[in-house]
Amino acid sequence: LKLAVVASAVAAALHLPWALDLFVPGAGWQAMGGVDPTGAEGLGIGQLLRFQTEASGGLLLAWGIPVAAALPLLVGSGWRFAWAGRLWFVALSCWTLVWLAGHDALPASLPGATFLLVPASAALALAVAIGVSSVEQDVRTGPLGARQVLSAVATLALVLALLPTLGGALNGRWGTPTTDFDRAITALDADGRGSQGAFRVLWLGHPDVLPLGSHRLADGLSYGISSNGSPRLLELWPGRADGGQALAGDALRLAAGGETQRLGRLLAPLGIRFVVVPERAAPERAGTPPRPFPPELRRSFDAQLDLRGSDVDPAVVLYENAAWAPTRIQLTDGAAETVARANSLFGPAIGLDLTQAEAVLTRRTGRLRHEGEVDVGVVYVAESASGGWRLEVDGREVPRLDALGWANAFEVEEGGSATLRYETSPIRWLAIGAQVLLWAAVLAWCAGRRVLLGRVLAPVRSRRSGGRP
Amino acid sequence: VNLRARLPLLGVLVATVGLLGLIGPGPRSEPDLVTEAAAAGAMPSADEPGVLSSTWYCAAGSADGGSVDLTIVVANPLEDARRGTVTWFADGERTSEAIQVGAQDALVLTAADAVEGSQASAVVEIEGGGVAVEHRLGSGVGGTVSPCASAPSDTWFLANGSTARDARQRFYLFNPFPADAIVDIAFVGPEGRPVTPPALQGLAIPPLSTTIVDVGEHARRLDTTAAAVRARSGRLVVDRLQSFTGEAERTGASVALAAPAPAPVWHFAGGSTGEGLDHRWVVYNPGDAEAIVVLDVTPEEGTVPAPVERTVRAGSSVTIAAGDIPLLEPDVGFVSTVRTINDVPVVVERQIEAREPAARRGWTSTLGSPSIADRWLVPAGMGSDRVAQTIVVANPSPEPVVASVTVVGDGTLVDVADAQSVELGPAEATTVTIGEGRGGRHLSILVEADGPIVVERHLDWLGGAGIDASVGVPLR
Repeated sequence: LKLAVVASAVAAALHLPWALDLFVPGAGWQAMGGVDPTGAEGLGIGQLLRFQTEASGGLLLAWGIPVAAALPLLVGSGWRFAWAGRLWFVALSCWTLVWLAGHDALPASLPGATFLLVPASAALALAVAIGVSSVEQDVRTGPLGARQVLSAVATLALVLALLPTLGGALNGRWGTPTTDFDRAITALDADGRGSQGAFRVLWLGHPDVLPLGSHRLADGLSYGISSNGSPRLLELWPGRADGGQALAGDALRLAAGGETQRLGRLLAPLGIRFVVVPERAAPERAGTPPRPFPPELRRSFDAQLDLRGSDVDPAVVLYENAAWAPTRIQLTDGAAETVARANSLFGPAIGLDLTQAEAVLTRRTGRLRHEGEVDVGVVYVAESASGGWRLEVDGREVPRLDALGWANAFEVEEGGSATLRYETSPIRWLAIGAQVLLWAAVLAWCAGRRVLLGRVLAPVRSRRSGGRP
Repeated sequence: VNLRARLPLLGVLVATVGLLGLIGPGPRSEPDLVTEAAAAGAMPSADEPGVLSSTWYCAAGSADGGSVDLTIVVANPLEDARRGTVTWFADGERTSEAIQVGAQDALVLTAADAVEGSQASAVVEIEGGGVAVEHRLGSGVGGTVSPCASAPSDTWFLANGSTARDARQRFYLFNPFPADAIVDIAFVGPEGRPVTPPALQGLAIPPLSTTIVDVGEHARRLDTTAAAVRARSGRLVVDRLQSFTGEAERTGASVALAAPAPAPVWHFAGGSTGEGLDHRWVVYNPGDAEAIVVLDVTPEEGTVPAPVERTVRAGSSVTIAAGDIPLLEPDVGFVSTVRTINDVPVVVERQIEAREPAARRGWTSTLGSPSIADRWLVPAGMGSDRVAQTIVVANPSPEPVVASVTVVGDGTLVDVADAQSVELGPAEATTVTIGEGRGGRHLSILVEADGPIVVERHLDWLGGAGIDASVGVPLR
């Protein structure tokens, strides 16, 4: 137990500061185990035994795995029987946890079934391997009888269970769709939209069909945000649901709850131009499993005065936000006054028309650096409020203010050529440095242990090999 | 390892799996974001005061100085002022203006002051909830009032209407959204036959605009026209404006917001029969299954008539005339309820027609109330220089309730004398005359009770200029 605690502590230290997210309610498990809580899928024991995490469908052949894994329990002896029993109890514990969660019988929320079933599948895989050993050592040596019949049945079950896997492996696609929404939703093409200013896309739907890391909105429903079009690799990692991410979720809840018909205006200060609602993981012709968007939520979205819906494919609904504004804008006088007064987002945003605001700082000259001309007035930057954001106009730094309770605003007194950049805090660099040192220390310690172990074991190995090298 | 040694382990495994299988899986979770507020019912209602914003859609009207000019009344019974925006849509143009409704006050907005056009619609957006909006169509003496819609819908139903020779019926199809709405409109023709005019199938309602459909051009010479407007895509709001030329003794105009959904029960707070006074209920079944409905009428005094049962075939309508109900005495007010007894929802309108020798003149038809509530607001009440106004409060529940009526305006709530703590037994109603001596001012009226009630406003324009009746707006 001591060893496990120490190992966990070292592992947590090596993963700082990410490990701290585990203590933020909801955030850590979402990153590790997905956005759906255990049991949300409503799985029965038959589905769990087959590792079928869909509530419907599934292959009969998948029964072959538990059948094959049961062989050492029936024919194994000695350590093979003992280990098979342990492994089956590991699997049974995982299945029971998922089943109990489905009945709301657990005191705490656990990661989703796909996460908890990993140890169960590993345990059954080992049991299958032990079964092979049992055939070699317990069945071949025994008299002809039930053991041989059971071994044949288990072998046949395993072969049948592997057939779907082989089918997926033959063409190397593993059942992945042959197309994606990138081709179906041309409206998201950032190149064609770039001249209108940087924007964001809000993806909403079942977590299984979202093409990016997402945050939980409700059971079976989550959302994520991508920048300037379809998600990229980095956006598969959802990060923390704070700042604009959290506000987007709150705005969606307000709209779903019938508390506003101006969702577009609530999302506009976040720079969100499109809301994409996929109901499959790929366009319909790809034939991926459907994950229907709840019809009552669809009605709530259709009732929004500033969302323009269009069916680009039967598998996806695209809403364009008629009230959107780019992520870096020069505010009109009226909007500037509202933004200057407000210390929260939704109340002011309801009456805030940003459609007349002009995109500024449109030339990207670095990952977090933008340049362009700005006029006298207020420049609004739709990024989480941080003192790291700095705006210089003709070399003079412009004071920054928190805007709408979450973003940044700069009051420009003299227009000119401007540069917006984000200055990373020295503390972050120090933290990264400390992390590198920690990893180096652990690696060095491991290497030292290996050398030490090699020295200790060398005489033993030498004796076993009879002095041969 | 022999079989006996294996049995305990195998037994535990099989028993556990068997037990879990026997009890079965837990329920599959579904998104639970949609609240009661979002699930719009079959009638407009005021959102709770704490919501972020509320929106009202007023479809019918004009802004050209004609007889159906649009006026909007926003009533706020709360102790805080409410800010918002009104956006006018007139003949393809739109303009917005900021508004503020004072605490416990009403705001009257006239379309012609902001826009000009033969058609005018409006969207009223309020920061927060707790307020209600009605629209009045008319100018000078006469007019008709109806609540605006508190939510758009992709289906709208009307049970009544006429395209007879002396009648003109118009639908105002208001699409306040930035995308097209494509709708199909179907009517119920003679003997329940469906009428689906080709010109009204796949009808495109352009974004941010209102399309007026003259029903008489598509469903000619029909005394009663139930109608269904179903959107293939998009959402909209539908008002019906019914008017008469007077050549067949029918006069006046009546605006009504359509019902976004059929419902199992419809309450009507007021009603009466008498010489020259025709009172009837029109029941429309827009569904695919036959509906069996029962009409209960409870008079203020005298014998209670037996319930009237009717079968309404799928897609057709039936009319029940008050004059045909035995034991219903003339000039006695009554409360009525139409309910289905086989769970097939319907749409019910009540038509009142007043001709010679009745003291009143006019025609009005309005949907009943599919909801009951403890608090109701009647935003566009009237002073009595030009119109006699009565508020009817009915108790449709089996338990007695105590109700009070208050006038909202000028920053205060003024109790209406003789209408405080009025006890109403089951199926009882009280009628309160409000507005005498108030000149031509708008008076918003708040009705509160300690149990569920239904509230109606009846207007009788002086000089025979028309009658009007509409249900109030329930407050959540």
